[in-house]
Amino acid sequence: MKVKGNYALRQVAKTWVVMPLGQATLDLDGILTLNETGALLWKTLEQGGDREAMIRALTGEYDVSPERAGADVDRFLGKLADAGVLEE
Amino acid sequence: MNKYKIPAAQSRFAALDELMPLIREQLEQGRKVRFSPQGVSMLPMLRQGVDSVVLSPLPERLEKYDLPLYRRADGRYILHRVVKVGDTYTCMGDNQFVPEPGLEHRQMIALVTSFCRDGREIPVTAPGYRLYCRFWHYSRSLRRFWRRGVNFLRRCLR
Repeated sequence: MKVKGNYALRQVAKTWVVMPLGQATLDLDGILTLNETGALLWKTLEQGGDREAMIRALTGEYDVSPERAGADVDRFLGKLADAGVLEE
Repeated sequence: MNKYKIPAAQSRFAALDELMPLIREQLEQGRKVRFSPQGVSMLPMLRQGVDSVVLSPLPERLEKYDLPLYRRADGRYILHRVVKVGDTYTCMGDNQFVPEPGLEHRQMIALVTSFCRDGREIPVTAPGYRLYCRFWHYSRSLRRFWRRGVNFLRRCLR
């Protein structure tokens, strides 16, 4: 599972935005925004990390158990899949 | 260690002021930006949560009936129609009766060049739209009189 090539993460003030690339018109309606932890997981995915790497990224950066991090990673991946920004 | 927050990915309409740096950057690069305006001041043209507009880079000067996005002195972002052009602009929402004079060009950010209504993208150059702008503007006194009458009748019937 990886991030589709036509999306890039951008920080806009305090918000992390998943930007669709190569479009003449940027559609702000329904644009995907991430929080700080979501951005960390996105960056891990972008670097080719898998589910385990994402859990390690969370437990390495935050005070969270691997079990809880695993459940949160699964939920996060589900949201990205629903948004259509992932590919196998 | 940093305080943990559940990783969130939200597909939502982000507030305009939150994304303004991104919007300005897109416009500076000559790209367009689509968003759904909030509020009722541009009814009947724009229905909140239903219709959207496409913003394009600003021209050197705006003309009467143009629909710009601008920033008020208090920092709020507004999408209202230009109803008078002089040294400054006067703008007013289609659903409003009080004009807002004294707006300077430097307050203007972008110009609506098309809008989406019922799944159809309508350019602002469309003859029907241009007719609507003029009719709606010049009929505002009549509409105001009509609205006062309706409100008066409602109060009488209570």
